[in-house]
Amino acid sequence: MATREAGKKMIMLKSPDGMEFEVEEAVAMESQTIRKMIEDDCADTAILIPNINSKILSRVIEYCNKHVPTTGATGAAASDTVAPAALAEDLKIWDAEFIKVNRATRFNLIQAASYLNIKGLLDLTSQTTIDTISDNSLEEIRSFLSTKNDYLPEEEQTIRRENQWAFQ
Amino acid sequence: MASIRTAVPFSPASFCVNRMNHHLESSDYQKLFCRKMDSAELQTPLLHGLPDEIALLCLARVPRQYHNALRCVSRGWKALLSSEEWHSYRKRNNLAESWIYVICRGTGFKCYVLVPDPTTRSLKVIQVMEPPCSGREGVSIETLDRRLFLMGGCSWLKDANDEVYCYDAASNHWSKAPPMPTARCFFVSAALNDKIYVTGGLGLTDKSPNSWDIYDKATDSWFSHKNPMLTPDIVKFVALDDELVTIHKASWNRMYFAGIYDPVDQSWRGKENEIALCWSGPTVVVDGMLYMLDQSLGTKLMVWLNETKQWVMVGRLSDKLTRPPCELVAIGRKIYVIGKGLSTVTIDMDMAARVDGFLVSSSTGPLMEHDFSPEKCSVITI
Repeated sequence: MATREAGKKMIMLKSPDGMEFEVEEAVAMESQTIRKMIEDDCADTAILIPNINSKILSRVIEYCNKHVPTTGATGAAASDTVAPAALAEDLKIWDAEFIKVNRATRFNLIQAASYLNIKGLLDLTSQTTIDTISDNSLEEIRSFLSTKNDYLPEEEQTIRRENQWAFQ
Repeated sequence: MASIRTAVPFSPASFCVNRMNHHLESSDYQKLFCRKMDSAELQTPLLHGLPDEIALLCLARVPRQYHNALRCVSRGWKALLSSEEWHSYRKRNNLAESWIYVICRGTGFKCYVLVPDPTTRSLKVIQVMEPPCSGREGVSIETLDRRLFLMGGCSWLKDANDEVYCYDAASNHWSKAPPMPTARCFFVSAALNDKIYVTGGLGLTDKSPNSWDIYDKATDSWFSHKNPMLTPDIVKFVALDDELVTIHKASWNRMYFAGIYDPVDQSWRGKENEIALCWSGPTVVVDGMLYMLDQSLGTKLMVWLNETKQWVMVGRLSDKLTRPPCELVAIGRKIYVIGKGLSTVTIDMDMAARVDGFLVSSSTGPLMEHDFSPEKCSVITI
């Protein structure tokens, strides 16, 4: 049932473990997957989000809540008082705090972001992996990302020689 | 609660779920996943704890300058970087980065890889490669997709060569490609729609003055071609609008004239000769418009106007900055004029304005110690 509260349309998101989250439509539409479903009229009131448990889904909603553009009637007051640059800075700090999670949670968030097609969240959750790769030596990359080195020793020598400038 | 319609996940009967999967572009991931499963050596997951199709989304966000490091991590990562999924994902999500490959001639030739640096808005050298055939002269260089082809050429020991070397930027690897049917050096070449066209050159035998050879990416092979319409005196090819503009120099009066070759119906027709003015200058095509750098008296950027059939000056550039002889290359709507010592002048065609006839541009001084001249510039986007 479409719940209307002060002109805001609400959407019910259900996780497979039975939890229900009522969110504003605008917040839910941060997810391109849900947006398309709403636009295609595939979702009236409740959408089951498969594969994403309530713990992760609540974090995703938290992210969307923070990142929903503050325009229109509700956001006018907020954006009037705070300069856009300050707002972006604030969001950056919030993001940095948000992503301080363990590896398993981060990977779950990556999967959720990919499934729900939330580009900003995908960028944010991938950033830690990118930082690992850009800041560390080959051995450190392998150990941080628990990726197995399956090159034969002589193979590795060749490939490292060919790609040497990456380590200069 | 009144009628809650719940989408049942992964039920083929449900239209919504099908649409949802469609939005996920799952077919791509599925392909990647299946391919990985087929190959025994790739069974190790790319990132421990993530399905490979999700790991792709994560790794594809790594900037291109770290791709060399990625290749060294494991076989799976190396294969991923050469996969179509990798390139199409980066392209689709605006992650792809364009690098400029400049072949310079000094003692032998070298390939300088230049990267636009967003902080300084100029180019910087990220890699210098020595191609396997760097001792040769008269080598023709063309780019197809992510591969650089170095064709033919001659050396002190050997006359015209039919060998072709190929650099694949996706794997950062040099290899030998199928040789040309005809040995050539100092010849004319162009890349157009997944094919490379070559003709002319020194070192041709009597049998082949009129021959041209075409390399087809799809079959990874060359085929020889004879076109009776074609005069053998082609001095330059320009790929424009899915056709080849052929610039000829008549041997009897040394005048330049032009024609057009249509690769689809393999026909050749005449073209207004004014376009042949670009025979000596470097050319580049931006958004379907042909630009030429006239280096005869100072440096002038010219554009070919098809409606009026003439070259029109876009603006002058100071040759203290361009340092001719130059080559032209474009990324998006930015034209880079690369001169001796990799001095670069950048013209943003969206902002290009003329002040006293001079084009507004930004420039950077030499990027190398030697004053080598550029022979060919190409862009490879990954």
